[in-house]
Amino acid sequence: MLKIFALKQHEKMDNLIFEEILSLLDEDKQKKISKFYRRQDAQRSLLGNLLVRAILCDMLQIKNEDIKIIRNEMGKPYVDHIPQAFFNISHSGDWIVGAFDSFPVGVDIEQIKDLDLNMAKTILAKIDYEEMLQIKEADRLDYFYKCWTLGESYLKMLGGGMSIPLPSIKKLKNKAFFKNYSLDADYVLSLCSIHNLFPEDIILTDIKKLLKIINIQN
Amino acid sequence: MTDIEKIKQVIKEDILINRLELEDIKVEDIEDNTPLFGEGLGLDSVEALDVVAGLEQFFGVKLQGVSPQEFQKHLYSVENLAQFVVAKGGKIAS
Repeated sequence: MLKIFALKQHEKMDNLIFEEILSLLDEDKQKKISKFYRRQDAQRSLLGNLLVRAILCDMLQIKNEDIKIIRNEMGKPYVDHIPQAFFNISHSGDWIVGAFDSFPVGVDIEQIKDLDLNMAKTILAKIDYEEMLQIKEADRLDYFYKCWTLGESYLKMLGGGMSIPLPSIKKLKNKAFFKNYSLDADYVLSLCSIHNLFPEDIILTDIKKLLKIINIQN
Repeated sequence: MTDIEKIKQVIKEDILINRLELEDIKVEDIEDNTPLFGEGLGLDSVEALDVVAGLEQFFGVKLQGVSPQEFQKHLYSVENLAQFVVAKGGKIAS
């Protein structure tokens, strides 16, 4: 059953908690996390990994140490030897979200930040760009982010990587099912699935709960 | 400074630091082969779009229509971006 979780990151994580979560990850991931330039990026990545591991432990009733995350050639992660477990993670600003299902799933969250909308011409499908120009200026940024997250969630579900321009919204909606969620003001969140059985709500979680899930399974 | 070195300098200073407003990172912190996404600079997908727009603004080169594999390869690091700009015949806009 498709489920979506969200976790809010706080300014600076306690070092002991950072190290505790880091120790739950495989060596390769630990190295990657230590290579981030900025602490907040390392923290976001760390929490994304914690979310994946805890929810997989719970859904599959397995131990953290039995979860081996591997990546396809385009970098999409999946669980080794458990082909029926699909998940996808996205983070932006303060939020980390994760979608889990037994079918392919893609999720994208973006914090709405001011952008040079001239670049939308390069990124959006022609039909969507023209649609954007028809709407009033104050609403264009929201429209752009909505198109972007819909396209990204679809591309992330497929796991084949990014290319521009994005497929048009009309084309996307003929190929998959989508749902937008309101998690927070100033954020847009799109979820993409090959079926239309979407959850009503996002499940909010936190570090304590996730660590508890992992400890119970171990 | 050779052309490719100048291109790398523009990518680091004008695109990554100024355009993307990476306030807490300095030009000298960014090595040519530092990964831009997923680790290293930790850029997100919207910032990737901003890099694409920056390449067009500063060098007149476009990434539209390239395959996802090529897209990922070109955006991997400053070195790869600079090689892409050179291969596309991009010039630093005056």
